[in-house]
Amino acid sequence: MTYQTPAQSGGTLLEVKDLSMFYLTKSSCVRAVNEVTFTVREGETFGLVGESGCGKSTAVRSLIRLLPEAGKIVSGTITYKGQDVTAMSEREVRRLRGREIGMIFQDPMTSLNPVTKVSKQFYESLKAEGLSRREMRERAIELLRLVDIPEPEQRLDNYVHEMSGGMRQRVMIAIALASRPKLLLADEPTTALDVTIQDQIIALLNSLRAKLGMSVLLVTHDLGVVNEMCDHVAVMYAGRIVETADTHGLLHDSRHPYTCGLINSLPAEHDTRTRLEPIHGAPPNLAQEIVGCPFAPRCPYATDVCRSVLPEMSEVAPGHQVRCHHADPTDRARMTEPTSSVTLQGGAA
Amino acid sequence: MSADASTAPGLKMPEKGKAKAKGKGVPIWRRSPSLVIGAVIVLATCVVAAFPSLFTSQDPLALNPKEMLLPPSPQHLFGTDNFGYDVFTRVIYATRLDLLIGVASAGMPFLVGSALGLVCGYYGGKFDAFMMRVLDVFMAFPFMVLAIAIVAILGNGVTNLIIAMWVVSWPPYTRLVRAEVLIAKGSEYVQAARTLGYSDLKIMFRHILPNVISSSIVYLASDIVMCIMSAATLSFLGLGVPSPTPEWGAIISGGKGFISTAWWISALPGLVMVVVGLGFSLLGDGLNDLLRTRD
Amino acid sequence: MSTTANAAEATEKNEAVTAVPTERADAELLEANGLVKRFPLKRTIFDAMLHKERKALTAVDDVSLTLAQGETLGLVGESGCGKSTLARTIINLYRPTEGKVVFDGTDLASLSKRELRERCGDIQMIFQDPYSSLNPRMTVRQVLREVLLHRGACERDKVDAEVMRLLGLVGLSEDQADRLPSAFSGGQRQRIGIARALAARPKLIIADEPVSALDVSIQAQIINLLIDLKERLDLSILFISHDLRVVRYISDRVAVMYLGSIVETATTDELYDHPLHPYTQTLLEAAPSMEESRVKETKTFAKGELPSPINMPSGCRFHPRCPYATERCKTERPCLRDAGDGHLVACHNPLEG
Repeated sequence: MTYQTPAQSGGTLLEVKDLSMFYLTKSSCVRAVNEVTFTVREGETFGLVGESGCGKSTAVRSLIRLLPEAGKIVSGTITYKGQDVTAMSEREVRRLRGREIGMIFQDPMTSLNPVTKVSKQFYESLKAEGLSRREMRERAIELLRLVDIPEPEQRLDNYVHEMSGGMRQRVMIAIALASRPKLLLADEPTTALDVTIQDQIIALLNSLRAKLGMSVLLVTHDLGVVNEMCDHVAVMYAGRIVETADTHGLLHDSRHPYTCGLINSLPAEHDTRTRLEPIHGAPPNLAQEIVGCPFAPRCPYATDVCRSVLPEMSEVAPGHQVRCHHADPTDRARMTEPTSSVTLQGGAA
Repeated sequence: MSADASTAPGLKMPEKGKAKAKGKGVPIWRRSPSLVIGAVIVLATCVVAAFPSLFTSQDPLALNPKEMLLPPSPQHLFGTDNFGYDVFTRVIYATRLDLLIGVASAGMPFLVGSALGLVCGYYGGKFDAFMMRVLDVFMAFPFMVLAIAIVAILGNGVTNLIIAMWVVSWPPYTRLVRAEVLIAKGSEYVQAARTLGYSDLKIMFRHILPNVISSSIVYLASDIVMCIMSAATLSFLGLGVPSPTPEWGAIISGGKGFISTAWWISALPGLVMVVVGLGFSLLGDGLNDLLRTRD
Repeated sequence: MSTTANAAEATEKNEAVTAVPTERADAELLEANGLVKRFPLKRTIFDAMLHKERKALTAVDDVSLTLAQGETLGLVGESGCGKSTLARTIINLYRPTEGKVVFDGTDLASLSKRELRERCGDIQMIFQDPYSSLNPRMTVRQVLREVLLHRGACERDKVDAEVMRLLGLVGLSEDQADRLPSAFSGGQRQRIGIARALAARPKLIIADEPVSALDVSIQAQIINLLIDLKERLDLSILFISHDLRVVRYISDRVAVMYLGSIVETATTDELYDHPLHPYTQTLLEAAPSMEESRVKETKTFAKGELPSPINMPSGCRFHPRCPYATERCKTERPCLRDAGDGHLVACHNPLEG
């Protein structure tokens, strides 16, 4: 498998436009997802990156209405294969979840049933296809083989708790694939795993995507995982998308100070620095009204306009959009003597 | 809830949302209405218990053969019974005794049971294993049967009644606290306390207890009701408070022969008990909300 | 277990002890010698009746390590490799099954409970989970006051000033002192945890995955804070992490742990530039990379997953996953030996440096 360039991917599969999702409780309103817009094309992996609490998981869950009681979609449209998901009835959404869109989670133990055998959990998702028991078993074995589980016949009769973490993750993926979904929503699928296992699962997801021709919408906090899996990425901060581009452009020509900061605070592989460069401060409280750019309090380039006016998304290169008043690197260089913490990565590239 | 939901599309930021920490600034009756209602009822009950003469001018022990089995009226709010006692007055004067029975018989098991649970959970080992078996033995007997047996052995009377309640009602506290201690013991703040060289007592009482006691307190509120009810039940069966003394269970019991002709003798005191019971239950629920949401 | 295996293990143990560089021994602050921690597993009543041997989970299996005054040792391994158990054994939250911990010239096992309690403050721990490591019902001031008064670190009337100094040291403001932990974010809670550890005036801090629950931008803040504090207060740190890359920034030396044993230890640069153990290499390679040249397929050559610590593999513990495993690896357990300049590795076929 080689690096798939964005050009190779097909038509639009999922289009999310101006999606806002708030948690409304008696006493507060948490703006978890705010005017989020992105597109997932057929056959591509789209990454939604951000730190905990930035709304990335909420955004993905709201696509198939897996939301807690207090969560309300307040505006925006979700178009899947030309159909508006927000206008669908609960039954139609359930059908969509069962047939078209699969989902995998960070912790398999929360999505797999601990008290029934693995085989039963396969049968549940295969029932809709009207297969006989024997056919279902064969199909389940086939699926387990697909996710590289050794001795699938025996594994089928195991309980989830009898398996290791990596194995559980594979089983969860296999079950999500049972209905041959066109789109796989993956919410931090490798975060809870050790690096060696994480590497195996990334490779598995990449090969499955190619083999089955499906799209993957990946939620992660790890830019390394993004680099190894995604074709396009959107970076979220405080409920909003602040930068979106193809993976290469985002990682090597990042324009938003937050994206730059994230990259700089990562411990790199071949690094000669003696110190990491953190982003100072902490993300804002989404229960409070945010005026201006949400990143302004932590941004070394923030000016008065940042503190008062929310920047719009602007195109800095084809397909590369940034929500920043000072997205132009030369403009930024002029404003402040660039502190080492926000030097742009590969600005020339 | 529905009112909040309807304002949702308008997207108005609720004023309270600006409060910094969750819950702060929200008045307590909005956060936990059941706590406030419960507290009001319980407080009212306490006032009645403390100053019964403020609420009735009659004597609870005044026999009045001329006024037997009168239905409720402005003179006799709850009517009169077969001896001519004013039922309302007796209910009012019984409050002190019943409240005392409830608090006294639930309080001791709360203290002892919780302490035992704390020690068992914290130290574990053989003592814990032994205590758990003892607890199983107590739990194996039906609550009421055990209480009846104890009163039958010790004899009638308020003190014996309370002792019987002590004996039967400590196990749930031990169970509750022990289970929570086992969880808290493994948490990192307790490990941190141990690495700082704090003594076991300090760790148990300062670090573990405040974090595990909430469920026990909540249970206490409902257990007080249980104890009042049990005491009333025992009195109803003739095993509790001896007869002329006003006590809710005894009053209700006294009316059982007249339930078809003079329903008020049993029904109205029963209603009072229900209201007081509800008050403690609501207080328990409210405490639950309040104590749990803090962490 | 066969007698030959027993013999092999015995010889290996002796060698392992001697493998500790002895020339620096007098400067060592902490010295762990042949530490073993086993947790006995519950036997079913049938097993007991059949007199089956009681199974045990070997979490730490004969670990020896040293830490010099002012040094930071990184301890790296995957989850379940026993690194946290090792930390808790060193700090005496667990009693070692075998072996001893010598701290500042004193064998901790030889101390009475009371003496141990008095010396407790010398080693402090920073925990992984910023949410469970603070008592939810005590304000920051109460937490710190309690430590200061308990340790007798300062006089009663100066306690409040000292609390403020500690808060300043970890980058918290004074007006945050009377808040409960729930009012703080994960990174801030971790700072409080650090302040609590510092309040006891420790010589050694054991940081057990202090940043793995934090977001990357916050993670970098905490790492930098620890580096600064170490320099300012002349601390020694045992820094535990599952992430080799994070450890690099803070450590002078790094030890890699696999299934209860240390498989490689070297100075930081040496370890990262010339990993000798295949497992170390795996860890380095497996982490998702930001580098462009990477093709999107698995880079890890370690197959499968961590074996159960109840049924340890024979020979080298890594052999079922190792691509270079030979017959010898399956039977004979390699011991730590010096590959030059204090670079210790436990492998029969170490990689080319």
